[in-house]
Parts: sequence; C-alpha cells; structure tokens
Amino acid sequence: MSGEDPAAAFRIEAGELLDQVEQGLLDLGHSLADMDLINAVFRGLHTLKGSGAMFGFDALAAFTHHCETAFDRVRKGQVPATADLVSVILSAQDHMRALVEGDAPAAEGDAILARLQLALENASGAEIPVAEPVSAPRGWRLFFRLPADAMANGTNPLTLLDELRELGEAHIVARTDEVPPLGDLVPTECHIGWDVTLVGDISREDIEDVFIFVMDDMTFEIAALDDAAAAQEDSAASTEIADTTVADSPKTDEPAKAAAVTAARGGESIRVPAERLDELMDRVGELVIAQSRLSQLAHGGDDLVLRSVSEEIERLASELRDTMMVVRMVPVASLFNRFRRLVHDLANDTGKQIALVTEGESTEVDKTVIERLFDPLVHIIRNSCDHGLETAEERAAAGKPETGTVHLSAQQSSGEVLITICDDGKGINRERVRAKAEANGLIQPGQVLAENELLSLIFHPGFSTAAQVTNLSGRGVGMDVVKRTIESLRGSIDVASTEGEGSTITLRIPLTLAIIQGLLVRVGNGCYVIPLAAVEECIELSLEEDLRSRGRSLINLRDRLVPFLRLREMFATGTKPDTHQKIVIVAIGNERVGLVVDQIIGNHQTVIKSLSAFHSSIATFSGATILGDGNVALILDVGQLVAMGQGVDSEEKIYAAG
Amino acid sequence: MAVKSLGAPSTLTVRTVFSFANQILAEIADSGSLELDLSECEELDLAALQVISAARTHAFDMGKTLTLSHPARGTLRSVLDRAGFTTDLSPADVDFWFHGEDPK
Repeated sequence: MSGEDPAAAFRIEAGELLDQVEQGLLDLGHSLADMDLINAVFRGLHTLKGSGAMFGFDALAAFTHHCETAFDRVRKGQVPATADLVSVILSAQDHMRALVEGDAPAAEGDAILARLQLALENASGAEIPVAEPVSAPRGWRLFFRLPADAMANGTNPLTLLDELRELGEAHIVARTDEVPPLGDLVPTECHIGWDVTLVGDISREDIEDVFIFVMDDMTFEIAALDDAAAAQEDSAASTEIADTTVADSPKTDEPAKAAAVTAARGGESIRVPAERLDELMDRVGELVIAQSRLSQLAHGGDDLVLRSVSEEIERLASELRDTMMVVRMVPVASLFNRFRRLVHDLANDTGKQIALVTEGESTEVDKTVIERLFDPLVHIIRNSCDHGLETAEERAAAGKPETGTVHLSAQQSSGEVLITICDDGKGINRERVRAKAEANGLIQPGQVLAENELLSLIFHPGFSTAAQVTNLSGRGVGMDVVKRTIESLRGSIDVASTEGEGSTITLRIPLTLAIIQGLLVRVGNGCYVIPLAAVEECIELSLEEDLRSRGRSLINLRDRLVPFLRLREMFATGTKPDTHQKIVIVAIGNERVGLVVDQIIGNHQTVIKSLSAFHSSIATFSGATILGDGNVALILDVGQLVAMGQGVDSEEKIYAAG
Repeated sequence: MAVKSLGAPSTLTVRTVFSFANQILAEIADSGSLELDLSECEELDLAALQVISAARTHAFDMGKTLTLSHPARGTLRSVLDRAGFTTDLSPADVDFWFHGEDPK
C-alpha cells in the first residue's frame, strides 16, 4: 500500500504484537514455567523494540528494551517468572500501547520500570520453578534456507552466518543444489541453503533469535547434536540432514514445529482498511438499487433482450452482495480475546479466582456487530465476576471448586449468532430481585410473575438507579443499557439462572447490520424507513383523536397510555398533516412509542448506508438508503426515538400529576 | 572457439548483479568457453556467488565451459569463506574456485 504513512502501518503492527504479548502473558500467568510462552513473549517484545526503533518510536524502543532484558533473564533461567513479574509486564505493556499512540506520561513509565526492577529482585530470591534444562545439548545441527525474497528485502545472509559463528564453533556448508541454472534464476532471490553444525553451550532460542526477522517464511530444521555426533562433527558433512533431524530430535514435537515453520504463511491474507470495505459495501448497495431500477424498467417493456440482460445482472448483483457480506465477517476471537485481560484484572481487583473459558471463537460476525458488542459484553462479564461468582472461601463452603468459571461461547444458528455468557456462581437471588422491584414500584407487592418475567426485571430501567444507567462500563447494575444496545443491534437478550449454580445470559444477534427489512413511510414530502423488527403495529390517528390529543401526546392503546411523537413537527416539514395520519407503534423491549406519519408505503428491503461524518451527530437517524426511484430515505433510529418518547412521557406524567 | 573473457564490475551485489547475470547469459550463448575475470571486483555479496554458481550449472547444461581467470583470493575468497562455500569442497569446486589447489 504505497503512499501510506509507515508510522501508521507500524501502529497497526505494534497493536497486533502487543495483543500477542498480552495473550502470552495471560497464559503465562497460569503456567509460569512454560518456556514456549516465555520465549513467545520475549520474541514479541524483541520484535516490538526492533521495529519501534526502525520507525522512529525511540521512547517505545527504549522502554521495551528494559522489559525485553527482564524477559531475557527469565528465558535464560537466571530469574524465574513470577506472578508479580507477569503483572508488572502486563502494565508495562499498557504503557507501551500508550507510547505507540504517543500519549504516554513519562512518569508512569519510570514508575513501571521501578516496579519491574523490584519484581526482578524479589524473583531472584525465589526458586526457579523450571526444572533445570536436562544437561544442555552440546550443540546443534541445523539446515536452513531463507525466504526467496530475503535478500531483496534487505537481509544479508552473510551477516546471519556471521551471527551464527559468534554463538560458538560453527561448521557451515553452503548447499547450492537448489540454485536454478542462470537462465531461470532471478538474481535477487536467494536459493542457497546451509547445513550448519554449532558446537558449544548454545540454547535453541539463541539460534532462533538470529533468524527472528525472517523466521516466518524460511525453511528451518534443527536438531540437537548428541555426544557421539558432536565428537565426529568435523568429519561428518551431513547431507541427509532431514533424516538426522528426526532421529536426533530430543523432543517429540520438534519435527512438527519445523514443519510448521516451513509452511509458508505469506500470501494467505491481506490487510484492508475497514473504510475501504465500507466503501465497497456502499457501492454494492448502490449497484443493487440501480439493478432494481433496471429490472423495473425491463419488466415494464417488451424488450426480451433487455429483460434477459437485466436478469443476468440481478443474479450477479445478488451474488456480489452475498460475497460482500462474507468479506465483512470477522471471527469473534478478536472480541473474546479482549476479555481475557478484563477477567484477569477483575480477578485481581476482587481477589476471586476466576477462569475464563471461551468456545466457538471461529464463529464469524459482521465487523460492525463485533465492535458494538464489546461494551455490553464487558458489562455482562463484569456483572458475572462481581456479583455472580463467589469468593474462594464461599465456593469451598458451598462444595464448589475454588476457581469460578465464566464460560463465553459463540455459535451460529440460522442467520443469527448466539453468544452465551455463563458463570458457575451463586445465581440471581429471586427474592432480592422481587424485593427491589417492589421497592421501586415496578411490580405490585405479591404480584404473581412467571420465572422469566421475574428475571427479566433486571433489564428494566427502573431497576437500576439513574446515575448508573448512563455509565455502561460502571459496576453493578445498568443491564437496561445492555439490553437497549443489544436491541439496537436488532438482537435479543435472555437470562436464565439457577440459585446456587450460576446464571446464563444469551444474546441473539443478527449476522449483519448492512441490510435490514424496513417499513417505508412518508412524512411531509420525504420518505423514511423504520426497521421492521421494531414495528409492533400500525393504527390510524383519526382527526378527532389528533385534535383531542393536542398538547398531550399520549394515546390510549388497549388501556395503556403510549406516548407518541409527531414526526412532521419534529422534522419541521412545514406541510399540512394528511387527513388520515397513521401511528406506527415501535417498541424496544417493554417500552413503546408511537410515531405519527402521513402515509405508510410498505415493506422495503434496505441496504444501510452510513451517514456522512457531518451528519453522524444527528441522533434521530441511524443511516440512509437509496430507494428504487433514486431518492434518498433516512432510516430512523428507533432506540433514540423510544428514549425521546419516554422522555416526553415522563414530562407528561409530571404535567398530569401537577 | 576462442575463450572469451568477461570482466566483472567493481561492485557486484544484489543491487547490481542483474546486468552481470545477463551479460554472462549472452556470452555463454555466443561462445564455447567463458572466463570470468573478478580481479577488478572490490565488493561482492552472496547474490554474486549465487549468480556464478547458477552460471556454472547453466554452462554445464549447455555443454559449455565456464572458468575463473584467477583463483579466488582477496575479497572473493573472504566472501566464499563467510558464505560457507569453502567448507567440504568437492574436487570440482576446488578446480573451479581455486584452480585445483585446495585452500585448506
């Protein structure tokens, strides 16, 4: 992607590296002696430092250097990995993120480094949990061939060979058997391979570090030298290296690893900025609209050729749209992985032992949905950890394992995704829910409620206090906000709970937000789309009723007062109301609001186009679409309108009471 | 056919080796034997060694002869050492690079 800011590219890369480091650290927290994880974290830090310096992020490189050095000591067995050290590096990793973004306070960095120093000192006193490496091998035999483009990318193979020589006594033999004849050779590609025998007290990681920047696509086979092989290493010009690697391999998983490294990983995916996908989706949307106009035209006339072309385009456009939908899908793993840190931090804050188990990470959902699911899920998981799970002592007393488990899973089922958050905590106390609901006047004292009705009271706005409603990520309640967010995604939320055994919250989310079924209405001279999923019913607003309700916008719908909004007045159309106005009753959860429109035109499948940045602050509309005749229709944001209507409602109630 | 000689430029690296490779190809096509003169070459890297190796295979495949005008020494010799070209040499390699005199 030429012309792109290299610093921006680095920020993306650094973000991914930091994610990997974070995942590695979190795993390491559970198994402190795992050398693979320690190496993975070290390598992540090492790469971050290297590329940070290359792109001019000097503060980042300098800071990362300290963490890398600390991990180098862990890796070399000089200092054991301790929980303390892991948590310092976790916070250091947050600081690195801030450094990448360029808004890190320097004082914080110094404080972290001081804590790092302390953690290292404390750790030095602790016992090393790692079993001492079983009599380190006397050396290694390896074969490697660099990625073909390594030289073109600026890697000098001679320098790598020099670095290998620095590790110990090296016997290096070039293998030119794969070098093609000159006529077929691209002179900038590297086809030479090397057999190397390294003798000395060298760790495998030291060798791998030499290749750290080319490791991804290179051929790399390595095996420990046994003593006999080492004794005759000078004479042994091993040509059948592939055989010896397997035979000499000290660990059973080595060949598998070598094979994994060999497998070329490039060329399988490309990185595309999200805006380009949105743009492409817009174009596809417009194409679908243009196609529907064409098909109207073709079916209106007698031209058979035109009709067949039009049908062909219709097929192509619909295939294109389906493909486009798939392109926008991303696995929920990216979402789930972010919660591991949350649970880790919550466990620290609450002093509880919490394990997060995730399942179905490969389930794919539209990227917009993923982004908007984050906040609600944070809230639900927080609730599970804070209120659901008990402390280790309470759990032990209840005969449960001391570590509480939060189970996060995703699965796809016919056009929607089911996300389940399940904990094995104490469950929801029905008596307390009832007591609180009665105290808040949500239900009558002693009112008979079905099980699910009672539990769903926790989603009622009146159930939480007003201050908490606006603070989504705040502690405690505020589940009504979660519910509203899920419903704005056209999804639904259910709760089930068994006292003493835990709670399960299930979210059902549509796979895509890009296309909706809408109800097309007219207000004044403009057309608007109301998402059909939110529409409950349409009723007529007679002239008498209209006049009668002047001044107070409430209608009586089957003995329930429903507030309504006159869209014509809201949008200041400046037109006279139609004689037969209609009220479209829309609902989000249990809240209903009527929207007064001039005419209901009908059902309309809509490709949602987002509003320009200039218009995005207008809360009433969630997007726009282009109609078959080329006109633009705005899509109403039902969530906002319901909230607005409820606001009017409470004013009315005050007015009525006064 | 007379032995033709082709002199290498003073810098023969991954950035400059392409035209040298093309010259070798053209010369081998034209003549029965080609001699590479690397005595003027002050800077060379692995890409240069690879091109020369590939030229050897190519000449062999075409039934032509490719030789060096002088046995490897100086810069060429040190790059050969660094690249692992001088360990476990076959007799053919000794002949080609060192005109029959084993560097060990």
